[in-house]
Amino acid sequence: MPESTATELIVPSTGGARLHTEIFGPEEAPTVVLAHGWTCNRTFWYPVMRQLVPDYRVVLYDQRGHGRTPATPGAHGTEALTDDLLAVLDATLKPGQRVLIAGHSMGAMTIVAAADRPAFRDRVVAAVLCSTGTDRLAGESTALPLRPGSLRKQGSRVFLTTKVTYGPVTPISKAVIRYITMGRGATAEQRTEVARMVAAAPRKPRAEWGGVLYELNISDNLARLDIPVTIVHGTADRLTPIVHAHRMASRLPKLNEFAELPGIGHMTPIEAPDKVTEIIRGLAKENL
Amino acid sequence: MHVRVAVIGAGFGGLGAAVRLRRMGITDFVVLERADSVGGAWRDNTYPGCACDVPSHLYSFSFAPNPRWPRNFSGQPHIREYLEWVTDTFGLRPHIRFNAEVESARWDNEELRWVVETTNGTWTADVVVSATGPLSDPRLPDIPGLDQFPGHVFHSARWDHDHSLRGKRVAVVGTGASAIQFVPAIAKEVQHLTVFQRTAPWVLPRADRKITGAEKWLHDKVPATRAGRRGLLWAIRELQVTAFARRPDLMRAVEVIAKANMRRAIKDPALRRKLTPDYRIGCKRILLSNDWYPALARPHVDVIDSGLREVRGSTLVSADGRETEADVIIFGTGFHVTDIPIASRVKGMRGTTLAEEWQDGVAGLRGTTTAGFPNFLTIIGPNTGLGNSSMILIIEAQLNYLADYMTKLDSFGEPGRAALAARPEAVSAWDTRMQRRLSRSVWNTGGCDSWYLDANGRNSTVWPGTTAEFRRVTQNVELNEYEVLRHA
Repeated sequence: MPESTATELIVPSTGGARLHTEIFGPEEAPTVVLAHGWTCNRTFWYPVMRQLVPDYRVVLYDQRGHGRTPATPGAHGTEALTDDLLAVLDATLKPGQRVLIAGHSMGAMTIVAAADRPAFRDRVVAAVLCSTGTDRLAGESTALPLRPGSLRKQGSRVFLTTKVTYGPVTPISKAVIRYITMGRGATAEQRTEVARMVAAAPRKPRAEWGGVLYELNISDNLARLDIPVTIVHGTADRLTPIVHAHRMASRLPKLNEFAELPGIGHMTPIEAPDKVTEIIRGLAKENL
Repeated sequence: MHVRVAVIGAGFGGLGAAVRLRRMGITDFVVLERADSVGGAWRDNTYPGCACDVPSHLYSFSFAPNPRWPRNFSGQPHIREYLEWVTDTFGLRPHIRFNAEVESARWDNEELRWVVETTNGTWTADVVVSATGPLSDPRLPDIPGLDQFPGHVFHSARWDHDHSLRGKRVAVVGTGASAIQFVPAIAKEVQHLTVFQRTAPWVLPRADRKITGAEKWLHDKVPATRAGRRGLLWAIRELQVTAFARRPDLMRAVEVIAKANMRRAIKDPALRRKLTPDYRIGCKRILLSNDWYPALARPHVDVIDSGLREVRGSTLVSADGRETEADVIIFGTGFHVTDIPIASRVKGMRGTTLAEEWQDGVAGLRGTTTAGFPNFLTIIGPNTGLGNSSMILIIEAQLNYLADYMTKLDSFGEPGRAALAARPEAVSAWDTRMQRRLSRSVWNTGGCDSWYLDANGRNSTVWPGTTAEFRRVTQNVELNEYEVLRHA
């Protein structure tokens, strides 16, 4: 199992954050960094990581307040996302080493948010943005079966920022989480996996990050992400409907590919790991 | 010349769109008008007695209230004057290109924009708003021998004012909303009048009167009274919708009033029989008039309860063989509604025209957009018509949709980077919903053949709900109902 061969390290970041980081794969291979999204953790990327490790060195880390990285109350925001990504790059790369980053949802927002930092521009040669958006997240989400408008937006806000538990992993909660986050074709294992991950996300940081997502507006940064970028998006995404992907695509200076995955929901790397791996490999081959 | 938006038509719809765009801060647009002045149907229809059958305080823009309406059912000259006033007040004139009839509009799949060719220049536009109106191109029946008719012939929407009717034998074809207004107006002066009636209309009394000076003063000084009046007119009509759309049996009560209205003026039982409709009231447009029946009761006015089949010289032959002589024929035969001419001039992303797309029935999404025609919005599009209330309410709701559409387009970055095309499945889902709801309405079940129905008997013109509901469903552009087209 590749998990057992992981090198674990704790990367210090701003505001006292201590990022749980794992490195897999051959030491000398080109490096790919994978950033997970809200209410998930580094294990979210394991299915993709397993397929990449023979040929790539894969770096995974838990965003603050997720997985094994403790929260830093009051210090959650796009700045923190950016700081943490750059801290991980600094700690895991050799001087001058270039890297490809793939992010999912909030992990992809991290990439966009970091696009104007010099350290990012020096290091990152290409990026994959999976199932993400850069603004209007609450307004566009169709997770709640309501008409668009203030009620749906307020509903989304409650869903994002509540500190109340999402409840234990039961068939009902699994069905609800599947409806919101995944396409119809998600397997039982995938459903359970996502439900466990979401249930494991600590409530307070979850709510705090949810507030960040509610107010997120980093679309102006897209113009500064002037490296080859591939967009991966499921057509059945309710959390961040595919319109976000089109919006990003029409603003990115160097769109490499727009991969629309039919029938797939928000959890592209979990629902379609083979396809996502293939896209990361393709982009890495050209640019690393 | 490239513009952000090209609006076709300078009637209520086009002028409203122009106001709305300017209010959003969009000034990069043109309004293409085929004639040389604004007003649309209210410029073209100048027949004697022409008036709106919706009270003026409701049949006007909410953002441009007019405290000076002379009557509660104001006449065409005043409505036209109102639209001229709106044009000047809102600074729309610089945007209008007169004598620019759209000859073709073609979607450019590469550049993601419309190429609009007119008789007065060519424009490219990111978005086209088609506000040509359903009642703009007169429909003339194809009657054998008409071209041999020695007298004068015209359609009521293109009234010939140079031609006096005094002392003439006049034949009127049609008994719809136009005929019912001009027949009483001309009956006094003609020598003889023959009215060809295929289907008798239901006619209710019209509570028309002068707006008093006191009312005007009050409406001017206390705007709330104006709003209150409008609100009341609106609310009454909202309450009627259930009967039209879901409980046609309730309409029976209205028939009693209509019959009393007829009995008051028509004493001849034979004429009464002719004038009594054989279908449920509301199925065809309910007409309002106090002088229609008195005009038909005049001794020199004849009603032939049959259509016009043929013209032989100056002899007019009805479908059931009756003959009459005439010097002038006036057609009050309506408009191309379910086959609007602009549809055959607009080519979408597959290179087919809107008319071809709509061959098997007109269908749209939320009354506004159509699959295969990106960034093309129709004001008063499919299933937006009302049987009993003011179309201005519908237009304004659609302008909300237009505004949100422009905002959503802007979210894709620089203008012109992306376009939205209604998803075919969203359109058909919407259309199915419309057709299901209409299936029990009076328009579909009332037992009549009306201009609400197309050649296949499908109702693609009427909105089956309240105007409040229409406003709600056009408040937001739901992006999951659209495909996003981007530059390659």
